[in-house]
Amino acid sequence: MSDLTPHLDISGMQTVSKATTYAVELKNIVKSFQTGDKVNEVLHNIDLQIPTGSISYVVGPSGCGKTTLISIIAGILTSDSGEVNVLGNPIHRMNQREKATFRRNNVGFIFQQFNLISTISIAENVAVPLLIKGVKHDEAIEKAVYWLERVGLGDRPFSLPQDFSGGQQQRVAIARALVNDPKLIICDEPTSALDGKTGQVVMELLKDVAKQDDRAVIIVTHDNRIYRYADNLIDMEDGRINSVSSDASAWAQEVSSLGIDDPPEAKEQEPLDET
Amino acid sequence: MLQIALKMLFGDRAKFLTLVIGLSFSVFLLVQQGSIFCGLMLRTAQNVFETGAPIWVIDPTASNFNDTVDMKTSEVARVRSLPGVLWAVPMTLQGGVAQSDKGETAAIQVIGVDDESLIGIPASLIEGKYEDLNQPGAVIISKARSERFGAPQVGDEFEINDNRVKVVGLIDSKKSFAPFPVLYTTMSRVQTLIPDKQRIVSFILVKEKPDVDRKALCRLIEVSTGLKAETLWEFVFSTMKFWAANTGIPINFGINFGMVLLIGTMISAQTLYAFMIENIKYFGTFKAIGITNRMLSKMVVLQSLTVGLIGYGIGIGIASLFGYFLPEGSPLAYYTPWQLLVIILFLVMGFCSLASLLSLNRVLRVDPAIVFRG
Repeated sequence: MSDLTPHLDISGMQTVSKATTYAVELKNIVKSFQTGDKVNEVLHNIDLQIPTGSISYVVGPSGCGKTTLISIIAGILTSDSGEVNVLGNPIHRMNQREKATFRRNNVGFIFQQFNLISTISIAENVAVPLLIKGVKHDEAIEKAVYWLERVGLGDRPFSLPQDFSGGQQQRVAIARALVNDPKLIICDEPTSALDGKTGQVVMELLKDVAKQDDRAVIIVTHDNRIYRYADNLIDMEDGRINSVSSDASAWAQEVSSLGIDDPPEAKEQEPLDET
Repeated sequence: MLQIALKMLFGDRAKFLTLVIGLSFSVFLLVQQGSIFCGLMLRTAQNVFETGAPIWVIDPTASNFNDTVDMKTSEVARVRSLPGVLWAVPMTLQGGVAQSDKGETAAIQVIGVDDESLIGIPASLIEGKYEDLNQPGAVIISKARSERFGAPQVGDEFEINDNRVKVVGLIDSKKSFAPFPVLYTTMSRVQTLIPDKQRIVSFILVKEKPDVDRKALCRLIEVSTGLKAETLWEFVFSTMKFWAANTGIPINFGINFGMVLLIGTMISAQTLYAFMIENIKYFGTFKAIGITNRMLSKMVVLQSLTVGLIGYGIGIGIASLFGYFLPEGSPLAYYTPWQLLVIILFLVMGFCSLASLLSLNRVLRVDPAIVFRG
């Protein structure tokens, strides 16, 4: 656990103290949704710590609360009770506006369906987080083009998203998530809309460009073909955390040995020539 | 982000065109219906416009050009004697029956003007000479509606109330709302054509001296003579009001206008709303990334107003072309005052703003967690 007293610093670049061991610390998180008269508790007293410099997977069957959990971590949903400290900031004490500012400055998102705006160029899509921060258009585009180059799409920055394959679009989404230099990357099923090979390529890229000592990457996934890239596996079931394992490669091996998965040798592939 | 908002709008060409076409068509219909209404109302005061006198003096119990009470001839001198009056001349409007040599008959309006100055005859003489009105039995005919008694030409003769008259000029005037052919002649000849009238001055046309305030002179005339005096536009509106109050025109056009406004603009507003809702996933993404509600509102309002302005521009363009290409002498009255365009601009912008506010309500309440729902 971090010994740093939580403080509300949403100014952006200074959010992570050197003393912070964990990017995410959850204490006793409870979350329920009301459907009509029925209240359905989807997270039950969750305690969790996610270290910086790691890629952590949140896995488990559908409906176990994975997406709710990352929504709370990202400051999108509010927990009913408990403490949510992210990058040293007590998210549970923030109002919606403060949370929006926090997300703008600290969180990058990668979505299952990419969520790229189809009517603007990929450079503009990547530039969106910067434009939202108020960076001038030209400057934002320049930085976006740099990130597109880093994900191997620098040759056609002003083409529309539909001119690219699914894997390439997810690479654009990765560039968009990183353009703002966030300290927390939240990925929701980043490979589930992609075929196995493309999924591996995307994960290689994500590992290469996103993983840093001061940054945490949290990935919600059902895709056991990509477990090998995880530093931690957070296994959920029925709104509870079953186990947290730092030996993800063993898990991947176990899954593979059960014949559930037959991951391709992604590391032997050239990650950036996927089309 | 505003640039992005516009690109989102323009980039989805199918939806954008649907929006613009819907709004343009609505605006076109609004301008067209409004222009026909204005054109019709202007026609009620067509004779007043064509006469062009800056001040109209009438009997205090009369109300407008088509509701006259004749005054004594001496009233002209009383008005003329007032300070600030440059000139004051009599004018009369009488009814009669014209009959051509072929036996065609029509009820007509006879307008008599001052014998010496001939002030009051429209300036749009296309054939003949004004001074020929001094010839015996001379009349000048307005071409509009003259076909009702054989469309007489210069040199033709016919009868008015059994008096022989001769056409010495043709005026190219627009059709007035009253469906009668109009003849111009001198006051003295009107007295011959329409005998047994003790009082014959329907209007006193007045021009103020330079540097004299027109409205102030009207008030002076009223106070000094007990007559009613109105400026040209006041008299035009009095005439319009008379027709509006005594016919179903405003109600019928009001209903038309309202239906077009309701159906056309509401459909466009609904399309605009649908456009916003279809983009809600993108707005959700922006919210997840951390956009402020203020910026989101600006984006939505900008998109709405941009579509509104483009639709408005195209709509009034088409309506203007419609008016421009109406054939000369068309029976369709068409006049587009700038005030109508301003009113429609506000209506369209109002409905677009309403649509944007409704969609904004949804957009601002969008749960950013929507982005995690595949």
